[in-house]
Amino acid sequence: MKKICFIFALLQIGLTLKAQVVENIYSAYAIPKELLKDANAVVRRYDVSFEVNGTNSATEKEHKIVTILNEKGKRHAEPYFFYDKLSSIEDIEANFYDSNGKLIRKLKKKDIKDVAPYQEFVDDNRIKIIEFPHLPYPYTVEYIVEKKQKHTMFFPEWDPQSSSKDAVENATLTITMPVGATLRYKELNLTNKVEKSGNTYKWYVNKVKAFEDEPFTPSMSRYFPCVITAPKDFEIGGYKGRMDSWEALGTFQNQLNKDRQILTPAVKEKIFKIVADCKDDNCKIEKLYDYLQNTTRYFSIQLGVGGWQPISATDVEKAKYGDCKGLSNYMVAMLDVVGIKAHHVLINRGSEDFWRERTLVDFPRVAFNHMMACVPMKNDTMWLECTSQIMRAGFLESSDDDRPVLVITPEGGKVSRTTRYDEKVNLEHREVKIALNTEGGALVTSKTQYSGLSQDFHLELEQVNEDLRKKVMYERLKINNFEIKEMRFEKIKKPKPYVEENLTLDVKSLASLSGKRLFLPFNLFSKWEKTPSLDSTRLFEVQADSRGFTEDETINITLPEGYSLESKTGPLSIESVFGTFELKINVEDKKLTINRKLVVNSKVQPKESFGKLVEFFKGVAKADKTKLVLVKTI
Amino acid sequence: MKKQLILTCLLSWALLSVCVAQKEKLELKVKYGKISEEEIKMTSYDKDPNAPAVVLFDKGYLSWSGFDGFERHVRIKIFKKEAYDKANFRIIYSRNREQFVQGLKATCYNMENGKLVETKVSSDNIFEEKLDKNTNVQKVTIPGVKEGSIIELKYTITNSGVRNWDFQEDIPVIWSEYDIQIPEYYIFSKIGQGSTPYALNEQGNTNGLLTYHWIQKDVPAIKPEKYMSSIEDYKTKLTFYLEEIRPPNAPYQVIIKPWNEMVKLMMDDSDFGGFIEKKNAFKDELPTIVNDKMTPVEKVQAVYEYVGKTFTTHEQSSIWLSESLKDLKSKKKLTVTEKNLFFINMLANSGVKVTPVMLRTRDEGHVGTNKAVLNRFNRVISHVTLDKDTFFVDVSGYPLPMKLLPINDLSGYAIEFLGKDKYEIVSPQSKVTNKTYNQAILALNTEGALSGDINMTQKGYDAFESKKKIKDDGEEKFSQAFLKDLLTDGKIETRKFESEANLSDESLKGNFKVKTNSFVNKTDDKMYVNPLLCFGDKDNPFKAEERKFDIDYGAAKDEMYQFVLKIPEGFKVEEMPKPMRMQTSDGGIKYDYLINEKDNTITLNTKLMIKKTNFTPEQYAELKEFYAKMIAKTGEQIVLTKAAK
Repeated sequence: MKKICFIFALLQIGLTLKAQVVENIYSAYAIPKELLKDANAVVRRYDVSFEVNGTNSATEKEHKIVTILNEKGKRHAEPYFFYDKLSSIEDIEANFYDSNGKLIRKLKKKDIKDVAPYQEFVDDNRIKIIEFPHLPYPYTVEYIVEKKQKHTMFFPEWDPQSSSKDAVENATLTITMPVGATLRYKELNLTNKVEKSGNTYKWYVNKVKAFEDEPFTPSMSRYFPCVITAPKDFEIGGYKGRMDSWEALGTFQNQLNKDRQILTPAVKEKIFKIVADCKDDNCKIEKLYDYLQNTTRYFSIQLGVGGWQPISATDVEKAKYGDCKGLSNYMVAMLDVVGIKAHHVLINRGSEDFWRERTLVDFPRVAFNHMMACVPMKNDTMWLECTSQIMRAGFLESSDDDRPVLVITPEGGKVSRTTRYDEKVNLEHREVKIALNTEGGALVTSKTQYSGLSQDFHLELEQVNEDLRKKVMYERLKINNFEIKEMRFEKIKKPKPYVEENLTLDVKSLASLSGKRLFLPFNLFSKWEKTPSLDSTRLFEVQADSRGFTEDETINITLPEGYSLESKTGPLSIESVFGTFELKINVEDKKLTINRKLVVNSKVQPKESFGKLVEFFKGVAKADKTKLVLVKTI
Repeated sequence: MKKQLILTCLLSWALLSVCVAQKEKLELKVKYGKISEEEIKMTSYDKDPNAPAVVLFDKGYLSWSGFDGFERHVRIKIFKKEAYDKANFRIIYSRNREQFVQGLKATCYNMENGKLVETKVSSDNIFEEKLDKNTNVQKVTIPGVKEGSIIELKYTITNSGVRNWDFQEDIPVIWSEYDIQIPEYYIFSKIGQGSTPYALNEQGNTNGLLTYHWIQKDVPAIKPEKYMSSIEDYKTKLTFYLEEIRPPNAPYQVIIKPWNEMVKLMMDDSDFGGFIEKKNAFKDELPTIVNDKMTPVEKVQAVYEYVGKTFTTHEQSSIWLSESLKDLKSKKKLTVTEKNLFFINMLANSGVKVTPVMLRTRDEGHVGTNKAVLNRFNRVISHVTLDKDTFFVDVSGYPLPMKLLPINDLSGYAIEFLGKDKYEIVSPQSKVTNKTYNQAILALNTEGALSGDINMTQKGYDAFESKKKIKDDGEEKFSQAFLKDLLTDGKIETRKFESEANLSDESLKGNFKVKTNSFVNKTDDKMYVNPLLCFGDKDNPFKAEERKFDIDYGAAKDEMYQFVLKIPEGFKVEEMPKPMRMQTSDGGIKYDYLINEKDNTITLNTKLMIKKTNFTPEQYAELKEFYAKMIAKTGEQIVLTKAAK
């Protein structure tokens, strides 16, 4: 009896082993060990083939197999595919497998959802979402999707590693062009270059490892392997164009914009009235921009070619709303009425580095997500974000600043760059008064001016009602026991826009009273808290802040009767490649004056300098945390 | 007089369609699809200008003559995107009572180019789903919603019985009305809760029909606060239970029977008691999970892990199996209750004593009655009894340690099924105490550097959360986050963990050898030492000026800290913080701060004990003050002076 059991056990072990060594692409156990490190999911295969059939038709086939290793890789179990009037999804096949690579189920139609992604808007975008059931991790999902498009404006952008926590085992991109047609492409972070045979182009990557995201790094996306492709000649919705130069792309957009800036005589009259008192162009632009903000709102309607073509100025005037293209076009039209030449501008909107870097100056193609307007002035350009309800004419938020854009001039497209706001402009200027009492309580008043990009948050806060604003302020201020006695926000337009915040706080226990001493934290508003830890290995370049900023603060402290300063902080001055920090303290009888100035720049430094960044911020954090010691002398 | 009243109505949009008739009878006349100009033009609700949407009216009508049914008619104005989900409705009805949803109409109204455009719900927007064996849900998603839309929904449920009614929601409600008629031979009990006042609260009896009519106006939105059990415990609503039917000339029918009879009913049901007792449900699986060599507690652990790992959880509440055993096994996706019933069956068939325990989870609010109203319960967990130990288990909590219940189970009231008709009211608690203990044994040198050991011990929920972080981010990142402030000017020289990879173990231990200048400020002849280092609360969790609802911590907790400091030669203590003990007036939270010096060594012990987990809003000010004092205390420092030679 015992023997039989033994044999049985052996047999079982044999089976398990066999299951593990078998070359099964679906089995989680077949993943090379080095790809498991730091990974939440492993892309086993990702094959995209794109075949251009003519000037207005192409087919795309995408085959993907992903093994999901843990909860954080779960997004791969819900892949989605966009389609609209100009493209269609012909077929979806989806299967899912357990950890051994055994097929559990082929998905049925009911497992695929079909929804409109932007329900708040009117557009023809739809997505199909595959909803894979869940199994204990790891498990594998597979799908094959066939798409057809009735245009050639967009070509594949192939990014097999879509997140730093994905590893990629094997991936290929194959593009077949019609005879005589040119494929343009750009390879980023690739070890293997293109293989071309006839009209077919092929790329592949294998064994791309996952990696840890690192803080204080300029955009991670610039490290991923990627191939961007584009045609030379293209066609969409009956319009033909060329995209091998920015100039040509601008010419194409001019076709779409043509005859859409016409306004009725009545409207023109109204516009003349609005600017009647203006003496210069600046004034006219501001007046019309205010008029735009006050009378229209953003609402997206994008159907078919309407995704790229603005609705006419007359329609916006009537409906009082439009998408970014409609509103920008309307603004251009209004400016034209008063004799100011303005242009449409194509841009990638978004505050993240990904969007700022998406337009590749040396690779013209249509890859924009937004339109704004601009007016060329004598010395520079005035940029007008026409969808914002809160910005002021000529000033941009962090979603539009400092990035390449395509200005559509009558002569064609011209690459330009939106305004850069650096640490000299992004300023938080604060004056604080602390009147301390003998119990450690204090009456604190502060006046802060936020300007440049530093005002983004406060501009929005200024908009909401008092209750919510108070709630937000209570959460933001890291002060132990206080009550907001007074709070005022003011939006100031001139000469440069800024937001002013005035606070009066009754802090019941600011300093800790201990025997004859008071321990007083002096920095209530700008304590530095983002110090990273020094990693044992650093892979990427270092950047302290994506734009740069300055905090300039004066703190006046009135000591309570009978107390004097026993231990102070500073003076301190730190110089670093990432910025500067200065702390000065001046004692005058019962009054202390502290000047704190932190300047952080946006320079990108080599990865070796990460230690310096940590050191810099640690110095700031320590100084900010130090408590002043007051001692009772009477 | 009447004319004047109408004029007044016209002046206020809120009252426009609400006309106050004579004799102060409140009435709101509405017609499906008839949208007023004011409703269209409305851009915010003046009593709560920040509300993302407002319920213009929500009317429920239950009649027993004509057609038997419950009719609901609701109209909502959407102001902001965040309220788009208000266009999704769930209509729940019971299959076994022959209920049907009839006459469903739903429309979205938008102004487009000066015209009112209607988008009607079609069958594409309605999805039918089975909730459990008795209940279905119709999900209605109204299309075309955008900012400024008005949405409207109307339906009837036949044979509805008396439905519960919510007067209050997470958006404000301008008019909420519930008007019902019940034959007097139906004996209902009614549970009302909430604090918003009734504009009308009438009852009467006409021809054998009991009539009730409730109206609330301008009901403010209810929003969750930090440390709160469930919003459901506070919103204004009415809940009904049919207890008995006493038809004329027919025998009484008791619906809500005493608990022991209910227990028997459930224990006889093949989807509950019948399933638990089923002998061969897992005859293939069980031998691979447990064997005779295992001790009972090992068996419980093995089954816990098997069920936890094999099946994923589907967040649907129920107290029965919803499908056949075969289907459930192949789907591998079970409700929390199904998982626990699987667990109970497997253990019972492995010779372990285990009983089912039925409760209502914290997030759903209190059960609200001590009567045997089954639909007030939404989860079944288990109670395991071993020779020398007894504890509650909820297998849906896996990978939590077996004896640690998910916080959602700690609602304080549950029914334990002890046999065919025996039960007991119990309060499921975790057997594991929830505590943290950090100990720092450090020596200070004359340069202001601290060096030595930091020992960390965590037990319960904190230990589990920490282990998850170690697993996800690695030991290095976890340690850096744990000792963040220490690293401002210092480093961790070595680190060592115990049982960090074993999620089933209830505790976690760690040791760090550290060196830091972060907590000492040195001047020419003095050193100021912050003895709390990076431990303890630094920010008061209670900052808001006022509190509307109870403060609920969920689980009791102890936080202990010890600081042992060796003072360098040549320095002496000039001043130390004074010891302090404090507690809330009801003794629910205590804080001790005990400090002394002996032989050049300072020892500080602090202890925060959260013994009581629930506090009333009246105690909020006291709690806020308690935390403020504690945090101020932790800001005190030790002053050392250079001794004169």
